[in-house]
Amino acid sequence: MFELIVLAPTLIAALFCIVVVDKKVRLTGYVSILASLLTFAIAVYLFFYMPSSSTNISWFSVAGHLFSISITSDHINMMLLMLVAFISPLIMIYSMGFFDDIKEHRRFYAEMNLFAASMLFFAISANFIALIIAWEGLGITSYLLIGFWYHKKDAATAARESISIIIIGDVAMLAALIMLLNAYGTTSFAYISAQPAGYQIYLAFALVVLAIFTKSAQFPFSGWLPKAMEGPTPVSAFLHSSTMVKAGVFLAIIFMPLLFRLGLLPLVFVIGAVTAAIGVLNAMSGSHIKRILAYSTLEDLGLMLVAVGLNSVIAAVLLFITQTFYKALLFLDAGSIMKANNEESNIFKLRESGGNKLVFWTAVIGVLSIAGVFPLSGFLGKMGLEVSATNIYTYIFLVLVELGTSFYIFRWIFIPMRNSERGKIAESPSNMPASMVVPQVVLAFAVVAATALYFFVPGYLGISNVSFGYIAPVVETVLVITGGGTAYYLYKKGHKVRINGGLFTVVHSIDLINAFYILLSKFVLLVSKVAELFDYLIYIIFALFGFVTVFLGRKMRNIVSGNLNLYTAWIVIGMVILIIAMVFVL
Amino acid sequence: MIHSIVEYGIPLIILAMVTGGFAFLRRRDRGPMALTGLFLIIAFGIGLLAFHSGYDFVEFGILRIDGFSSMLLSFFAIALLLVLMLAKDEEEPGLFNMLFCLAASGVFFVVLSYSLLSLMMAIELISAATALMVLNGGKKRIEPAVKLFVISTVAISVFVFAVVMIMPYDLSFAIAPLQMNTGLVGSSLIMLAAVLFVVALAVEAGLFPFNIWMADVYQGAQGHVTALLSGVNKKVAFIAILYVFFVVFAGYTKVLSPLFELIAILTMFFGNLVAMVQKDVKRMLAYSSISQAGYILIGIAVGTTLGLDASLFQIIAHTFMTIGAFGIVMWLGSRGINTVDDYKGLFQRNGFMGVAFAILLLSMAGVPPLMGFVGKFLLFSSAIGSGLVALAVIGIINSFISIYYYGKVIVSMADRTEKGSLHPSIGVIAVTLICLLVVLVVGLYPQPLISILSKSVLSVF
Repeated sequence: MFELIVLAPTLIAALFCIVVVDKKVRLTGYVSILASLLTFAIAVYLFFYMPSSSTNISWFSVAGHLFSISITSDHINMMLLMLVAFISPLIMIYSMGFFDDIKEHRRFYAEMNLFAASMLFFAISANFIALIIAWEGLGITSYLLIGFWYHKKDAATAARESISIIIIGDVAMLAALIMLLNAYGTTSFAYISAQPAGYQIYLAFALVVLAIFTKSAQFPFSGWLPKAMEGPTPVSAFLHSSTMVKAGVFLAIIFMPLLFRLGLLPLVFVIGAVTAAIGVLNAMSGSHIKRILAYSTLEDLGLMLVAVGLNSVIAAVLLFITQTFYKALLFLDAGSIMKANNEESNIFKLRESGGNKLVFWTAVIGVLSIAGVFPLSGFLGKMGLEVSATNIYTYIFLVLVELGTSFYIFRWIFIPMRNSERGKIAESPSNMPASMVVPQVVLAFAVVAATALYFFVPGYLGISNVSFGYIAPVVETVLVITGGGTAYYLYKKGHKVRINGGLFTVVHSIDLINAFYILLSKFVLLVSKVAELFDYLIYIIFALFGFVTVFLGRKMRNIVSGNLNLYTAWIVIGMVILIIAMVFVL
Repeated sequence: MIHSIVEYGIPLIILAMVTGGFAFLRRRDRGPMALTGLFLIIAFGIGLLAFHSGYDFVEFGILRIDGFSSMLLSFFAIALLLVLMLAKDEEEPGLFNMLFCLAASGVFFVVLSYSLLSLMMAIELISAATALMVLNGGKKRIEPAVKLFVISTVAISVFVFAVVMIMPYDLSFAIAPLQMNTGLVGSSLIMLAAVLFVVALAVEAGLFPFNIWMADVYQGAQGHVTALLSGVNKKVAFIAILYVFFVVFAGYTKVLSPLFELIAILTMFFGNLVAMVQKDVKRMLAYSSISQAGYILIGIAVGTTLGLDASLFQIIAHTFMTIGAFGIVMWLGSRGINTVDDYKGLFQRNGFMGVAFAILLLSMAGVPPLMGFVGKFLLFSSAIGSGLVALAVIGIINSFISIYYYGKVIVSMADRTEKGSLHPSIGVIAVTLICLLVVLVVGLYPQPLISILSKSVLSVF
């Protein structure tokens, strides 16, 4: 029950942002930062002192079905809560500097607080009814945030595309909820996880997996994530690191044993692998500073699902945690770099950091971490995954992905570095406010410190640890050096400017996926053509209904004449009619 | 200790309310109003205390204190407090406060009454005080005041007739099941008494065809008085209906049910259809409040415990919705904004109040997850549960019609017209915020209120 308090600060802050008068708009940011810090404090308390328990709050009951909201303080939930609560103050502080136009603060912070509250609620939810509330909350608020600059056509389109895809998963999730409620009378995670395999639960979980794929932007629902870069950078940082897209993966991790028993893990594995491949290939050829990172997120999410598909909890969890830190850091860096370069987003045109050394060095830490250099936390995630590969083909696939990762991420940093050295852009660097730099520095420290989690996470979650052995780290180091070296040779030294043609073009344009959607939409249109005939019928019925009611209303209105005598007469008439009616009833 | 607080506290509060009338001596003093507010808060506290302690006893033979009445005592104390907050800017606060105190003591008396005679007196007290309240504030208020006065006089005389007619059966006049101790008279007289009770209380509760006067009075009165009429007076009449027909006439509930069904259907249609063609928002809300009375009557026609729960829930829901909505209408009316067209651009002119008004209207229309939806849901499901499917379907058709006129106002508010921004007084903001919070919170999480209501209903019926 106490867990719910964690929602209070953000919700109150959101309410504050909505009702605050225009004159005090500047307060919204401070209030939101305060609220997120308070949330963090509560999360820390819950993380360390809350015993693992779950509470049922009955919501309402209809026709004998009790709808209740379950919340839990299981360790894995507390871990997610902690991650969200840790990232959100940093993002809130960063946004203070990021938004130059003070008028935007109010709307941004209101939406951001609601978004954070949805994710916090997701983190503590323990049944499907609680889950779907959080799930929908995430969907709606992410739509609002991606389309934050709705006056830009691209942003509006991207927001619409994201909600259109996410809604598929929402419907699937709702259908699964109804099926499970119908079959078991409860939607508690713990209860359902313990059920034996059957066709009902199989169908329901096939739908849940579909919902996971849409939320975590897996193939073929991956299109919206790179386009969502049209939203403000703090939103991207939040959305890609600890919220929204991680919700799907988190659900997959929770239900891993059940998915294993139902035999759905191979599907998860294949989709994850395909998405990771798409992500890597696109990231290698991209030129938009944020979009490369978005494709990198696709890869990370794909790899997490690969870990789930390999039935390796520890690998999925380690990747899950470490990705939060380095991806948040890299996005904040990307935002700072873009701001320093007058919102230029093409890596071939911008300078590394606009002259701010802190931005540059934190970016380097992020890059080293995502590539998987040893003492940094990203290393853990990569290692955990590699040692859990069950066969040689998986291993080779993972090695190739690793190689691609270190290549594209060094490319991401080397090209702007080269530009800086050659002095391609002569514009003076803009000032970087402290509110933007400080969160990056904090995150950089977190990226380094998170390595220690290797020793704590398995114990906290009560799962067996992995030992990496000696060979895997060596292989990993070789991969990083090879990938980074290639990038250095091609881009830093300037031997090659961009990769063109062949496989990259095919994957980059994603024609295959588009064709799939076009086919789907053609089918839907066909169905809707038939439905349109019914539409006319319904329209006629409604028009008639409206006509009749308005007509009756006009006539009935005449009863109310304003004449007191008539009013009294009506009372007497009514009384007489009632008495006569009573005589007949008796 | 708690027992004596309840035992002495409740009569003392009513006494304090009556003596509050002396505030008349200082017509323009706002002080007594604060005092009345304090009394109302104390009444709320005592009601809560009595409800939680689960007392069930009768005082002086006319005051009954049990789970049901103490729950209602608390509820009406809050409703009256909201109206008092709206009335803060009244021109003659002392005078208003006197009338308000009289009405409030009448309300408490109805809720707590254990005797038909005290019930009659209390209803008369409320009507008289309210008619004078309507009169307060300008010459154009004379017409509605006279209308209200005449109509309530008719109602109360019918009520007296009805009370007289049950004399041959039960001389105690207690609000307890009738003791049929005389074989002298047949059952026809008692049925006539029942019909007369229906008529008298239907006038107060605004049921068709005894409600034709209502829109004129609601529109003619000042905003906070309209809030009182719609939010308190009408609901009190429903409580009286519950007492009379489910306690006194407990043996006849099944016989009377078709009567209520018929009236419920007519009232819903009348309220909604006429509301559709209104242009003045205040008048439209008056008709909407009539249609809400029809919905409430569905639960009474059903007559089961579930039906009564649902009716009580809708009574509470509509009180908060209507006081909030009339508060906003009152504030806009004082700025010369009356018709649906005048409401254009309200979202721009004051975003918070616009959204609040929209939410209150949507709640009245019964849109989830708001409180009005839960009330209607309970009402219709209780009707279906008792086999009155037709009644439920007609209710649903009516909610459907109602969306038209509520939506018309919301669409008008969303219109983009650049006008200056508007700022309400602190009283209106506070009332709107409280009503909005209640509508949202209870709408999202209705279970605690429902269980309180079923507990209190079980203590009486």
